[in-house]
Amino acid sequence: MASIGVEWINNFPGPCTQNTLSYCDETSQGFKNGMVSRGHTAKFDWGNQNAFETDFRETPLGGDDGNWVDSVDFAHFSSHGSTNANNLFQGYFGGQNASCTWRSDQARYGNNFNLEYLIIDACNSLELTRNIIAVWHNTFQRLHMIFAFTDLVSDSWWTGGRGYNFGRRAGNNEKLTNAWLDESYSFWADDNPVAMAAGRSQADAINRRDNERINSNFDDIPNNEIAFYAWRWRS
Amino acid sequence: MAIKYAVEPPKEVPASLNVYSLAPPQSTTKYVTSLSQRFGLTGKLREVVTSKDWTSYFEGRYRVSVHRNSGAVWYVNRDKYSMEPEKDFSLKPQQSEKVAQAFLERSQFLPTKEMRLHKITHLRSATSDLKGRDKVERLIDAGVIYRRFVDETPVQGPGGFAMVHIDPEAEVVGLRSVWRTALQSAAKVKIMPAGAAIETFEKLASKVQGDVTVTAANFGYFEQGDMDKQAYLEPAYVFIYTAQNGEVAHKSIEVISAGLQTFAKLKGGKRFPAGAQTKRTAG
Repeated sequence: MASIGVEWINNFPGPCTQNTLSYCDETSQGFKNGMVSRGHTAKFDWGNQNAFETDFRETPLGGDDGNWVDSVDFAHFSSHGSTNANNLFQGYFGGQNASCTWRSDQARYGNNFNLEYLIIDACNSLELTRNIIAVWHNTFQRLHMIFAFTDLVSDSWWTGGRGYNFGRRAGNNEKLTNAWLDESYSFWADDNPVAMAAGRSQADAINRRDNERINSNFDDIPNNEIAFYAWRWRS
Repeated sequence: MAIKYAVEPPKEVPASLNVYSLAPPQSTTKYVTSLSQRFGLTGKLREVVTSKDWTSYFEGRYRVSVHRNSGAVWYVNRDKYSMEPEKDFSLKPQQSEKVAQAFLERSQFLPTKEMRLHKITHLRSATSDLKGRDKVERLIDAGVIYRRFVDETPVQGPGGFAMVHIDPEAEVVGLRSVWRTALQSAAKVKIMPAGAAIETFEKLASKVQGDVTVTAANFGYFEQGDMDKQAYLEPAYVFIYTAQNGEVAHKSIEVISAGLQTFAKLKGGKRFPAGAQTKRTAG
């Protein structure tokens, strides 16, 4: 059975002011419900002001990820996101604990020997107009896969069920990439999900991207053994 | 804050439209096995899995699933759907559409007279070494999307579509649709003028910080997605917009009832409400 943690932010009061979102709770809670309905365990569920940037930041870099995001198998983050021209992803928080954003260059997952799958339900989170390997390579410290979006992703009631549908299928031991792309793609809202996996070789990365399931027992890859990445998207 | 329109907002809309009552979804084992025969299966095996959401029938490499809330259908060739193919997908759009159209006509599963080609999407894959020197991109399939029209009026929303997946061998390897059966006209309703809908939308969008750009502004019937129950097919205006606020952008959707008389809400409550959270302290 897998352990999961979710963090979601709808409200962004000062000093972390951003536009209010409405359905980040829906996608995170849905993911949690879908997984738990298949027998998996929720370890933490932090929303709005209770979601802390330090939960995502590497412990030796001043964060506390070893007790939170890097202590579970699946982490789901739903909020604003952006990737800038310097290939830096930032996820946005509603409170300053200790910063208003978590940054991809301060994220190291799997080195606590735990986080395997990171879901970022936020805009531009696997942004294909940037160099996604430059953005995320250092984050893959035995992390297996990232599930995220290129371009903007809708915050709406009509597409808010994607978290549950992905969680239900992932928790049901279906192929993770298929579950993510099927359930998060919307031709109507023009939402374009991306799934990315690391591998020791090109064939290994493809195999993991296309076939990994919760119970498929792919081993962890230390960062210095990663040679290739493979990703998929629909557009 | 100015609102920019990247698309033309609807100008001329009908003065009135029928509202249709929708048939309750069927998802019994009998119905799903019967439906499988339309896709060329025998429907005679007994491998059926039911869950809170879906009823699924398995026959060899194929699966046919029907959603309990919406009647949404999903047909999949489990050996071939989304598999990395040996050869690249190279069918031209017209060829893909021809294969999809033939499949839909053969199955007689949806009223083809009510459907129009919307777009052709592709599942894409890429690999790269760490330096990006050995980067390969491929097309895996075509996803041919048809949208529904009722009384020549387009259906908007996450429902009212059929998407046919075609592999490089020109074989249909999957189909997903949300297409509720319209039973009869429940009423004829007068339509709110487009200008009033735009005014309502702009009032809602005025609360958003940053530069708002409308990327879709459409009128039509509105059909919900696969998770949701729906009893009536009613007209609505749909606005999809992006907001750029400094370095951060987001995308949102507003759906506004177009009928001056409405029968059901177009937006429900939270499906998975977050419980109350006690204040967390740092450290």
